[in-house]
Amino acid sequence: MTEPVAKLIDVKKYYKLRGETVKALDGVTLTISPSSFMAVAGPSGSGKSTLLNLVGALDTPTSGEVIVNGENLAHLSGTEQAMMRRDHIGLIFQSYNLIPVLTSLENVEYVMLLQGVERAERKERSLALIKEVGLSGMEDRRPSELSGGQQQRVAIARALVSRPSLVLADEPTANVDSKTGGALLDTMAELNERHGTTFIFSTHEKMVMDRASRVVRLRDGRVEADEAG
Amino acid sequence: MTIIKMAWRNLWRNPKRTAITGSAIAIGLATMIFYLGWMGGMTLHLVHTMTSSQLGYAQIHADGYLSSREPELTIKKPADILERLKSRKGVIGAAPRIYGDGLLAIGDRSTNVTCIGYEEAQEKLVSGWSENLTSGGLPAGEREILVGVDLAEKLEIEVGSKVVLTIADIYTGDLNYILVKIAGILATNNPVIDKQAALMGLSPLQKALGIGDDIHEVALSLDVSPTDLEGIKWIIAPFNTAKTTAKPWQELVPVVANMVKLQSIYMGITLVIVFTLIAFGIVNTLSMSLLERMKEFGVLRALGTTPLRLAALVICEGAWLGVVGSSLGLFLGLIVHFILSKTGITMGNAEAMGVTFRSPIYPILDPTGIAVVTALFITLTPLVSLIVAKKAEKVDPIKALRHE
Repeated sequence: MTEPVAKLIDVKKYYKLRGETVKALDGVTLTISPSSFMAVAGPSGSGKSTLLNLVGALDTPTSGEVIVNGENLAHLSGTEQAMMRRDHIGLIFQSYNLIPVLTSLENVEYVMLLQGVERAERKERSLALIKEVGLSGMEDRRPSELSGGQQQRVAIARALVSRPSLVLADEPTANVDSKTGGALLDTMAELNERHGTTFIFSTHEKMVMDRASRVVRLRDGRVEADEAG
Repeated sequence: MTIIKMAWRNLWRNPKRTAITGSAIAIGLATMIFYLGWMGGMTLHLVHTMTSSQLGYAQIHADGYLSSREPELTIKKPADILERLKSRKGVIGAAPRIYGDGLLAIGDRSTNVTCIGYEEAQEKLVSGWSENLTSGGLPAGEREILVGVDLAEKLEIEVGSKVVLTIADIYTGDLNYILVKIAGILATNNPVIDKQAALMGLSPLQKALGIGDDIHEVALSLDVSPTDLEGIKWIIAPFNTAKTTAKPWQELVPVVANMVKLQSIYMGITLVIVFTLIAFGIVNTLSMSLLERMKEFGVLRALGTTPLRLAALVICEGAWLGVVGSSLGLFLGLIVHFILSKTGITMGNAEAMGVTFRSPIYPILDPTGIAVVTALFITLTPLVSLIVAKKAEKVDPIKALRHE
């Protein structure tokens, strides 16, 4: 049996808000297989982003276990978690979050710079991915010189360039029009097929859910439904 | 793209703020370079004036004279000492002098004066009084004297004026009234000379005081730097005997010598004050920058940037700020230095440590001092940015990503 890329076992995430305990996740158990193209859906406040943050080693659960690539994230230090993100997890944000002082090429190269990849290889791999996401010729442009859709394509290339086993995309099409969103999904689906990279999206858009091979619906921090797309 | 290149680009994201903080660093360093040169010039002027107007590099007196100033405590048979000094290695000039109190009067105006008897041939090798004549010339005979510029002004006398000099014989107390002519007026920047000295030949004053061939003092000029205390002490050592005491100028006017020594401490204190003020600016700039880019720091952390690397980015930004500000400051400081070394800095006849700053002070270029101060500025700026770097290190990616 193939080892899951990520596993959540009875994960709870509670926090205090104005004296009240908010149950962002309340006992979620999930197994995510390699090469999945999975959507985590649900209304605002259902726990989608919290789930992605926990799997992305950005946050720690109140209780339960989050295992990514066979590593229990609770056992990792802050620096080890950073290295886990650097080497195994690609992140795509709703508002792109490219580094404004870097060009498209430099933004894509950045994670490899952290990994200590040689300059020539960095450039070669980055240019190849920029081409794959359809941005050839825009390598030297800074984020301010790109449209929203183009920025998100750079963000996709950045998330994939380090060849992660898992890409977490927090509402990646929310800030672009539906045509651009569709094109972005096509690109990600293509990359999922070509590289076998696991994609997990948080979304409340039907278009994204329709494209996913699996949809996990959350409500009030609990898994309401887990169905094939 | 290295962290250094990224830091450089980040620095110019808010050019106005960077320019303001960079200018503060530049002005601080330029001020320190100016201060270094000015203090050097002041010290040189002070030491030069001290040693060349009366003091010399060292002096020899009869034992006990310095503490009591008793006129009877003279150096007997000075020819012997003067002969030995001539052949002593490192001695350029040895000027014999005698001192006596007198009263200088013209018409209904009179004032107490310090009469100084000297020998021009040797004195010009030590004090250079003759180079400081503002009018007139050197005394041509026994009945001619020189007076200081302030004394001449006080008594309203000028070159050619005839005045009565009253001097008492130190042994009998008999008063000698001598009619003398003002041969010249001098300005030495030494208030003792300029305000109250009447300078005359050695032998007429010896006669008036009744001390025969004796002298009170031998002032020396030596072939070493005036600040080389050990060198001066080595040259004068043989003249410290049971009958005579030889002292370097540093021991004759310890206040001035200590001030010269304390100069580096003053510099250090000024440096600390100036840099502390600048440090607030640097911390403020970097903190503002951190706050504005909090979300970006969250993204960098989320992408796998370690806390240490994030701190290094902030330190790099601080270092660039230091390099830019310090380069500008060095340039500005050297420009100011070269302009002032041509024009001089007028001190408005200020008086300090017994020296009047009549002539402008010319700053001294101290390459070592400038290099040390510049290196300190460049090194301290990234060190100060450590304060902000520590905050950056603690950025929580989740909280930072929510930051708007």
